[in-house]
Amino acid sequence: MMMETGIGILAATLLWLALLVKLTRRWLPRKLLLVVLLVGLAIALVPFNRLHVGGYIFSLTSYLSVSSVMLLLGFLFANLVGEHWRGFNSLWQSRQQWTAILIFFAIAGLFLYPMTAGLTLFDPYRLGYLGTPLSVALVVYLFGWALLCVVKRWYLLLLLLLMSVIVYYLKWLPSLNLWDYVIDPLVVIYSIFSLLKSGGCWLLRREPSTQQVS
Amino acid sequence: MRLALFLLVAVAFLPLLLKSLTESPSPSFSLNQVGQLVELSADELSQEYRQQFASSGVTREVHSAVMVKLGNGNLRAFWYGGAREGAKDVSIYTAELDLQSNEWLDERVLVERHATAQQLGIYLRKIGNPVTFRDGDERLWLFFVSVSVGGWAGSTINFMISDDDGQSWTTPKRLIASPIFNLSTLVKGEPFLYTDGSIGLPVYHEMIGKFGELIHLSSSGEVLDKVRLMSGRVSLQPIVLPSSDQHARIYMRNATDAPDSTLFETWTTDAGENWAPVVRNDLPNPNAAITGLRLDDGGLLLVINNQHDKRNNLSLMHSVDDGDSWQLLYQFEQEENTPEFEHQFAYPSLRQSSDGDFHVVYTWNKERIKHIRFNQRWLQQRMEEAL
Repeated sequence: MMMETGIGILAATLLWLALLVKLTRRWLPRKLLLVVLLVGLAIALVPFNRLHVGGYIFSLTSYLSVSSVMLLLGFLFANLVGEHWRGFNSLWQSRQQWTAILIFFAIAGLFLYPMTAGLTLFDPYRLGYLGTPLSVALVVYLFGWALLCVVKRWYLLLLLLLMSVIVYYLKWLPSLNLWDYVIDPLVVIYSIFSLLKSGGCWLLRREPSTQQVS
Repeated sequence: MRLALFLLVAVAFLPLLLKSLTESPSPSFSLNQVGQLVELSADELSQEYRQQFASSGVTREVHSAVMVKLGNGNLRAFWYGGAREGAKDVSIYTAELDLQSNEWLDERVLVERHATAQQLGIYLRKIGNPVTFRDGDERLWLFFVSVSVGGWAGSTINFMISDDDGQSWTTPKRLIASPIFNLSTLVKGEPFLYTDGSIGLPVYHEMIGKFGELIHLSSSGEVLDKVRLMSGRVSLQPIVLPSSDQHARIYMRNATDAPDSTLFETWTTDAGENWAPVVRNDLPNPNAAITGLRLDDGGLLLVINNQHDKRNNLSLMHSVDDGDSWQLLYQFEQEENTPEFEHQFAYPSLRQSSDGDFHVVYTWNKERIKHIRFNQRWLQQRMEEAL
C-alpha cells in the first residue's frame, strides 16, 4: 500500500472517530468520550474482511481535503480537551468566524460541484491545476479570503487556508489540483446544511444553534 | 502581529499567483501510433485476412479488449471477463499474440478484484474497462476502471506500469481526476503520447452528465490537466487521432440512444490548447464504443457499428479527407438479429503490428474476444474498391 493511501485511510479514520464522538456526546459525559474514542480506535485497528474501517470509509470518500482533516482534528480536540486550553478555545469558538467559514466553503462548493456534473462546458475543477489563465481567479478567491481573515481576525479559517496551501506545496496528497487540498464534498455539504439550519432558525426567530462544528 | 500575518499570507500565495499567471505551452502530439503504409509492388504480397478468437472461453462473458505492441514485435491484448459485466468475479485477462504463428499464448488473469482491493487499500465492488499503451521509455501502461459503490458512473481510474512487456507490473495506483469523492472518470479510448513524454488519456464522465474529457498526465502518472470536450448528457468514450504535432481529431460515442444518433467529433489545430465546438458526424452510432487509427498518408481508419440502433454490424471505414467524408471498406460482421438472439459486436480496438499487419479485437456476442488480422495488401485492395 502506498504512503499516500495510508494518509487517506488515516484521514478517513479521523472521520470515523469524529462521527462516533458526535453521535455519542449528547448522552455521555465528556470524560467518557475519551473511552468512546479509544473504543473507536480499537475497532479501527481490527480488519473486517481484510479491510479496516478507515479503508471502507476511504473507499467512499477518497482523499479528504486538508481543511476537513484540520476541522475533524479541531472537533475532536474541542470535545475531548478543548476547554482546558484557552488559546485553542479562542481560536475555535467565535460565532462570527464560523459563519465566515461556512460561507467560504458553501460558495466554493456551489461554484465547483454543480458544474463538475457537466452543466456547462466550463469546468471549474480545471482551475485547480493552475494551468489556464482563469486559474488566477481561484487563487485570488483564496488569497482574498486569507487577507480578509487577517483583517477580521478569523484565525481558524486563515489556518485552514494556509495549511491547505502548504500541504499543496508539499504534495502530500496524490493530486496536483489545488481544489483537492482546500475543499471536499463533506465539508461543503456540512457548511450548506449548517447555513440552511441557521437561516431557518433566524427565520423562525430562534437562536441559531449550530454555527460552529459542534 | 497583523503585519506579520499579511506578509505570511503574501509569501504563501505568491507562488500560486505566479504559477497561475505563467502560461505553460501545450506539448505537441507525438505521432508514434500512426499506422504505416508502404508502397507495395503488384506481386509483393498476397491479400491476407484471418480471423480467430483471442480469448479461450474460460469465462462466461468477456468484454472491452484492447491491444498494445510489445518490444519483440508481438501484440498483447487485455480484456475483462467473468460471469457477466460488473460481476464480482470479473478480472482483467491478458494474452500475447505471436505474430509468426498467429496464435494467442499465455492467457492469464492479470488484475483480480480482491488482490487489487488489497493493494489499493480500499473496498472494490467491480473492475472494468482496461486501456493500454506503450510510452516513450518502452514501458507498458495499463489503465482500468474500478467501482467501490454503485454502478459504472461511480468509477475511478487506476493504472499500473510494466518495464518488461507485461511480465511484471507495479502495484496499481488511483488517478485523482474528479472533485466529488474522485468518482465518475472512466477510460475506453486508447492513450497517446506527447513529444515531451507526457501522456494524453481520453476519459469520460458518466454521473448525472455524460461527456468526453481529456486528461493530461505526466510521465509518472500525475494528472496535470483535464479538459472537458463537451457538456450535457450525450457523449462518451472519446478516441484521439493526431495527424501532426498540432492537429488531431476526436470522435466520441453518442450516448443518446436517439433513432438517428451519430458520432460526435471535434478537432484541434494547436495541440489541444483549444478544441473546436463538438459537432455531429455523418457516421451512425448505436450508443457504442469505436476505435480508430491515423495512417501516415493522412488517412483515417475507424471501426464502428455502422448503423443507428443495434450492434449486429461491425464495419471498417476509411477517410482520405481528414474525416470530411467516409467510405465503407469492409463489414467484419453483419448478422441478422432474431427475437431469441441479438448479436453484439462491440468495443473494437484497432492496432498495427511491427510487421505492418493490422489487427482488430472486439467483443463477439459477449462470449469471446474475436481477433481479425489483415495485411496491407488486403487493406489497399479494399481502399481501391471503395473509390
